[in-house]
Amino acid sequence: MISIKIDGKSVDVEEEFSIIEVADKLGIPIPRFCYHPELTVAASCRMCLVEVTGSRGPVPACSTSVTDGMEIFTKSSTTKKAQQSVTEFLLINHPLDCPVCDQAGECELQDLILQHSKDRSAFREPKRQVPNPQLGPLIATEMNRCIHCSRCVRFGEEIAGMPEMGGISRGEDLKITNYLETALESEVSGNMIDICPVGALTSKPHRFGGRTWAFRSYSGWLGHDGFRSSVEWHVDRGELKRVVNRPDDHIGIGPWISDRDRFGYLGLKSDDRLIECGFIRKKSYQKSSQDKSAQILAELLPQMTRWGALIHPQSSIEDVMAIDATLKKAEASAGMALLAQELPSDGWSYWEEVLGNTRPKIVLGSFTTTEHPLPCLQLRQWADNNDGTVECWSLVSGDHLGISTAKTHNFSGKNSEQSRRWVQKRMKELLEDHGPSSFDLIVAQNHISHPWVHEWVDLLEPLVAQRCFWHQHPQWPGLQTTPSVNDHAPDLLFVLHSEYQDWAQLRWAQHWIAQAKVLVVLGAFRDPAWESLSQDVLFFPCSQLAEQQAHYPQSRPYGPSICVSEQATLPPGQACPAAHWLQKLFEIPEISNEKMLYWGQADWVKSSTKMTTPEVKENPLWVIPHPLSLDPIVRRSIPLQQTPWASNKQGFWIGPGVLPDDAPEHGPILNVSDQYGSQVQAAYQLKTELPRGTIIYWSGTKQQQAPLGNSWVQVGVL
Amino acid sequence: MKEVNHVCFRTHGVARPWTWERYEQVGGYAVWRKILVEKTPPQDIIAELKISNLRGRGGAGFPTGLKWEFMPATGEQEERYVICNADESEPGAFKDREILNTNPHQLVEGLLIGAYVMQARHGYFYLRGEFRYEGYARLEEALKEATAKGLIGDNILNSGISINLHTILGAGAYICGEETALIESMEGKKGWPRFKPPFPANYGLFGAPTNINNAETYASVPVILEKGGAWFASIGTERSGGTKIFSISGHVVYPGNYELPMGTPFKELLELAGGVWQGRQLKGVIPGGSSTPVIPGEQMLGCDLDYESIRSLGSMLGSGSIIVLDETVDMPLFLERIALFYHRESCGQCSPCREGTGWIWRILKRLNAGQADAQDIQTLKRICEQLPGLTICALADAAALPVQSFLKHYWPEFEAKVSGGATL
Repeated sequence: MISIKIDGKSVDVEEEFSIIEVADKLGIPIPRFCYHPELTVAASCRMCLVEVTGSRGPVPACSTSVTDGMEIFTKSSTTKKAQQSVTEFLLINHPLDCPVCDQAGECELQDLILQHSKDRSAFREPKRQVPNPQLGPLIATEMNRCIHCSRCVRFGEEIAGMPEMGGISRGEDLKITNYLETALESEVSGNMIDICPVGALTSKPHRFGGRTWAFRSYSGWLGHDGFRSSVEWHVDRGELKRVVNRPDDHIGIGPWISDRDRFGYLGLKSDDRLIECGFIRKKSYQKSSQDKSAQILAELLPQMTRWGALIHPQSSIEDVMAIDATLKKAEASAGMALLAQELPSDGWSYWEEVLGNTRPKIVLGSFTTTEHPLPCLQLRQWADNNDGTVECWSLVSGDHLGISTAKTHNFSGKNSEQSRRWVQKRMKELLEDHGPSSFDLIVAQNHISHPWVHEWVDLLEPLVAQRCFWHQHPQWPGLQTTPSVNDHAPDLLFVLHSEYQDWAQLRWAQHWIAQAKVLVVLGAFRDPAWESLSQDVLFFPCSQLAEQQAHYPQSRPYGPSICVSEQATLPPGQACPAAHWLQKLFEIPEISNEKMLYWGQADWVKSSTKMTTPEVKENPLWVIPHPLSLDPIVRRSIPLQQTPWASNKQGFWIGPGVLPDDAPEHGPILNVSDQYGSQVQAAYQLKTELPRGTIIYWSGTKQQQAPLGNSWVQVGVL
Repeated sequence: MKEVNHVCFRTHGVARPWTWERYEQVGGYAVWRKILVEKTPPQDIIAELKISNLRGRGGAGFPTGLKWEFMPATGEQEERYVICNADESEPGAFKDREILNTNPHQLVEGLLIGAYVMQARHGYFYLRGEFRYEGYARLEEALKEATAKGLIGDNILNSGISINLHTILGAGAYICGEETALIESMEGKKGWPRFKPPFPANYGLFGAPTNINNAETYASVPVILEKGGAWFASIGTERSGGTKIFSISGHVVYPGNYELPMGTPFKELLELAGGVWQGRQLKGVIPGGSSTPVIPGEQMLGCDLDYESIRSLGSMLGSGSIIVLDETVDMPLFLERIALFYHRESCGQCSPCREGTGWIWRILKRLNAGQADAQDIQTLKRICEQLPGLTICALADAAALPVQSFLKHYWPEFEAKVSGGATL
């Protein structure tokens, strides 16, 4: 401990702190642009200059460490003069177009102008004009406003692990831009909007959408990426305007959220919202009223003995508990089944332990940074802090998670036997170097569905101390059922917040849907797939996320176990929370807050998932739920669907050895059928980086509904 | 007249002074061979340098012995580097260029000694990009010869000492003469100065302890060790030891490099250079490269050339690059050209310099075009007072200080431009 004096106040602080950190702790404001607590120090904006005794001139508070006996003056005339000078230089080429700037009201530069600047500029020269780079559908650029703080550049290098932004040219011509004007690919790029201190990088979907000071803010939680992130919903006159992150100390991941959580809200504004009750009888859709639908349901109910439910993991606890209470009213219950791939239900529970130790890690994943953006940030941080070893094994050419020291290996062009031999060889080497139980194994969700990886996970047993499975959906401990196809299917099937494609690749779900006599669809969107079914279907329009106050389960092992989301806006039309519909229709009691706290102990089916090893065949079909189309809301967020990552991944990807050698590289239509006889037709591209015989099908996008299982296939080109 | 060309230019006086034979003839590599045999303790060499009163010749004038001593004592395993800064880019400076052209072996010997003292296994010459066309080939040739003679490399002459020297060419950026920008550039990054602390002695090239000295400093070392620190110190003034290369340019009859004792009166140097050309009057002198404040001619004529005397006139000796301006010089126009240089060479990292250097140049440009009013020169004066001391490196100061001095000494000329009249 050393003692310093700041603005005349004596304080004892730890030695390693910089002046700005000490001042922040004490709540003493020091203006800054390039400094950000999560990023390395650049000390280039020179805004945080302060007077310090013993120094020839003002020193930057961000890069100067406190020393014993140091006296700091944050309000002295020297400090003020330095800060005023820097402000003047920053402003001469800034357009000062606050009236048309989206950042106005939350702009750090604007705050400073009000504090330091005169009302007239002494600058009489023409202002600099900077071209705006095209960064894709999420981030709008107005580079005349850029003050070159380089926060976005350092974010890409240090946090995202994808250096997509950089500064080119020198001096006054210095331009912050992206490389070769390609749209940003990082799945956490939206955070650049938050850290940009001025209006250079702003939200493109929200552009000119409203004035920040008019917004009301509501706190919420979003989990479109598996990890629940705390967010703020900004609402203007009842309209949901945007989502920004709400830094939460419990979360241990810094103030970052994924683009799916930031831009997913646009899906709520989709024009195919379900806004009124309706039903399908004898294959024709009819509008209905609440009373009429209730009447129809009441007529049908006596013939329904066995009730069951399909639940989307993005549902609220209230909705799931209401379903649970409803099923209890049935003569026989088939139980609730949750959409989830075959993953152990305790996947995330070991994550804290995996991050907490210094054991080297093996990551099995191919598109991991996009599928699991936030865990990848954490793993990268872990590697930085611990000088950690990470091996990235991917079936498709290498994703190194932005960890520059990671060793990557991919299985391009190899068949199952060659791949298995490599895994065995590498395991032997690692065992010799590190000994048994010396690694942690992380398996990205989509990889476990690949039959080869299934086998390797067992194979690697001697080397692995702790396994951790990364889920793409928030988890529901105690609610992870995978009913067998042979089980009795329900007569009356409730479908909560999901669309047909959410269930499409799960055999048992298809079985349930096919066997049900009546479906009660509680959802926010119109899904034409339900309308093509031959059974009776009743639709009840539901609210989602910002449109309801609700509780959600936490998915990561930090922070509160239940997340409470406020209602920010009104649902459209007749929509209301699914729990309300069920209360009205089945007269179940209201779910009390008290009861909600014990939701984890409810007597839901608790059988934990056993992973069944699929047969390893030479033609594995690998159905990958598209990460940017994970649920009905994200699927409808048009800007997300326009990102290069989403738009490049369509149809079939065909590895070597599937089609005849003379097959064209792109094909319009490929007919693929699985061993159950389901068929899908879609365009294909040949991908040499895939393992031999592998076919990827990107499922879950709005265009692609695939009733294919994770299995081997027969291929035919039409 | 005093003797000239004792130290860095000691090979001069014959044709082809850069050859191995000539350098051996003047006693070259004797010091290095002696060190290899005797294993002179590094602290003895540092002590000798301290006695010599040698101060860094790059411009800041920091005592060299002290700087070498600052290299932290660490284990032998740890990598450390010495770098010879020959990125001579300041307008008016051309002394390193001549050392490279005419006496490259002495530079090599100096860096070898530096590497030995600071226990570096690798030494680098950082040359400005334009030297590709002259000094670079001679230095490479010298390195090749010295390597062939076994004076560079692994286990040099069976002494157990291993030192390798390398040359690196810059890409023509002035800022890369700043030592931390130079390091960044050597690491393959953009030449942006680092904030200090940490200083290069603790965190330099690739994070290792690094010493950087000017080419003239390194070239002085072999002679100092040969003839003794006391001899060197006796040449100069009490506080600035030895000889100094003065690169005189501008309106003189014989512009060029003159290696003279520190403290030589400016008048003598001017005489050596043949005086102001065409019999004109001396108007002003920039004593240490374009970044140093201008001194009016009459003041300069009574001034000695050493760090302290020039400081007392409000300027700096800098690298000893003296630009002589005769009575015909249009000072605002001349200043505009200087301001353009610093505007173009600003790296763009720190806001005040990135924005301020361009602003200064634009006001001067308008002034010279007759498009400025009295308020503009007041603004110019104000921003040049605001600019120094705000940035990571001294480039912003280098841009602002000359402007301040020109405004101070030649204000009427600037005012005359405002009213649109002729200046002379």
